[in-house]
Amino acid sequence: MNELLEKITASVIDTDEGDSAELAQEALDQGIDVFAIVDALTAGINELGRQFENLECFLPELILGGGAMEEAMKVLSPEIEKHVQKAEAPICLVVGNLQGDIHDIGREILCTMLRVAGFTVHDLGNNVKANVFVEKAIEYKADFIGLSSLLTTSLPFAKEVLSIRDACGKHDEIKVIMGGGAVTKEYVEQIGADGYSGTAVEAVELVKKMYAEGK
Amino acid sequence: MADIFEVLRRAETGDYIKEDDFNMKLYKTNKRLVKKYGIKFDKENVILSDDTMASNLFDAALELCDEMGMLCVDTSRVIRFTRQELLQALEQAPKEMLLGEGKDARVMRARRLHDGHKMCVCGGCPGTPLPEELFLPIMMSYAKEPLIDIIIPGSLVSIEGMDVKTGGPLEIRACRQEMLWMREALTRYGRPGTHIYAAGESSATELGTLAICNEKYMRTTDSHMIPVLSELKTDNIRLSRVMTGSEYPAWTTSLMDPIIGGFAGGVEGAAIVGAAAIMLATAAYGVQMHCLHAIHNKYVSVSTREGMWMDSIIGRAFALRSPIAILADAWTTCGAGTEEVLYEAAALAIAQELSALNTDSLGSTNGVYPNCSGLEDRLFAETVDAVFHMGMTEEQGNDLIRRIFKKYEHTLDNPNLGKPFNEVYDVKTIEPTPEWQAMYDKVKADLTEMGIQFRF
Repeated sequence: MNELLEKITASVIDTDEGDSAELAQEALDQGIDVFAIVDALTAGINELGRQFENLECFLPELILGGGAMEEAMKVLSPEIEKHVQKAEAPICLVVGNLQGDIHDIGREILCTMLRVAGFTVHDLGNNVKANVFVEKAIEYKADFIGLSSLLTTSLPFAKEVLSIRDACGKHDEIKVIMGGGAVTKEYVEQIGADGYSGTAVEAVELVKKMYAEGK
Repeated sequence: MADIFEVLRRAETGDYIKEDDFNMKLYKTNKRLVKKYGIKFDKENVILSDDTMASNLFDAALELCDEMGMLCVDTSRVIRFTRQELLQALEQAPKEMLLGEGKDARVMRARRLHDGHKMCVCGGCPGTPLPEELFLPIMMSYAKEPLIDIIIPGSLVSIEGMDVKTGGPLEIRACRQEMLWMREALTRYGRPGTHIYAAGESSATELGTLAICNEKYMRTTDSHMIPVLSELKTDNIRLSRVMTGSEYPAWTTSLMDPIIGGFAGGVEGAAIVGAAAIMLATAAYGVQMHCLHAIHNKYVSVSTREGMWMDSIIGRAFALRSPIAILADAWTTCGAGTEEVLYEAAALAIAQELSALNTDSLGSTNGVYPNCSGLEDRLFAETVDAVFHMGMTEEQGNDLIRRIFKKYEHTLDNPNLGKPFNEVYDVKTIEPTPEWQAMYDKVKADLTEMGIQFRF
């Protein structure tokens, strides 16, 4: 691999290794293919994901790496647009912790992983009321609602989200997926939600798979 | 020392900081402190025996408190304490407490290393969602275990068939019912004065605590819990619980859940954050006890090498520098009806007893399923007793744990969740099924073979 591209990958893995955006600009100036630069950035993010799974890096590094990639992509976007006729509409999600739950670290990990995978994520934060999930999903034309909960006593609000979504006639358009410490696959099936994920990494794959299958 | 009003004042007037900035500042500060104080995880020896490193952890935690303080997320202000206030609060926290009433009362100690006292064993299923119809029999299975000194409830998930929701009116009813059934379970086994630890587990808000501040429910000889939010944060709900505690003379305990792999960094950073959270909770909440719960980023379980090491270094640090009553959670990957949960219980019991900790009981299946029973707690308590009476050393404990790891570590990636209570116990006689009893006998015989000299 080109030495500069290797530096770009390294700058995502460890932001002390260089400024990803500056390096991306340098690569463009040298006439390196823009998609090769995107691949180098993606390689960095993939490596961070692997390290995070194995406790070799931690949440802040994941956030910093995601931020570095985002900044670099801003530099690359004009060049990418020249090559792409029409950008493919990205998968859109609204994500939040169910009402009463304020344990936001798991949700932050999820949002970071989803964003670095290229999805549009609207993070509604913690302690989100059931109707707000649905109203925001409609407003943002989201494909998915992601519900997170670490509290058993917040779980019942997931049923309200499903009920309000259906009452709004969005059953087929907006799918509800769930995860978090208090959530089990059995519970998700029991209440009729559309998908369950045990980890943030699995959630990315779940969303991709459900989207590819027409949700 | 700052009183509750001064804490509230600081929560209104402290330095302003955005939560995201606080998180990243914590990460950077902690990364530096891990290096500066030479804190290093040893996966082969989860029970720490290095006094210098333990003492360094205490100093690192003090420095982290200086740098960070405690963020009140509702006001975005940092509640700061001077080093003198922190040390004074630790010093003034009780070193011995008589928990419970009459003949059923037990002593909870701020333990020192090998101080001639065994830990205080809390039994129960902390954080575990329990269905209404099984709540009483499950808690009876713990109440009937004689080696359990104090007891902690699980969480009631429904009342009259309706889900208990955070902040809703049923939290009030659920906490009251929880206390009535806890007392019923204890009374049936002739120990009505037993201390109920962390009363009001069925509520995530201050509603539950307020609802049970009455001798009919939470006696003044029981305790309730005030969590620190991860990492080093609080909010108005938590501070409302502090206010409640200041006007109702029950005991109070904090809860801290340092996340290994989160904003604290790796296990070394989580240990510094855990110790700092104990210091800040002592000063800000005025609690007498602390519940320490390591959360593994990937596996959750405390029975991981990282979880046990984190608890051990924190236990040793406070035992050496400023003893305070710490109860470590003992969440396991596996559930009742499996051999693995029994091995996890034994490993945790050895590590906690030899690290000057008390225990806050097992949370089988990491508190997700009601696959729990008194039998795994019995083995935990029997192991603690054996370790204490054998005069086991840290080196011997580490050797045993390394062998016990081989019996359950494979389940971290593929948890053996076991069975719900009603499939491993007869719910009428509150006795283990022959199959579950045989599993317990087999594992205990194996542990005896490994060198644990059980007295019971």
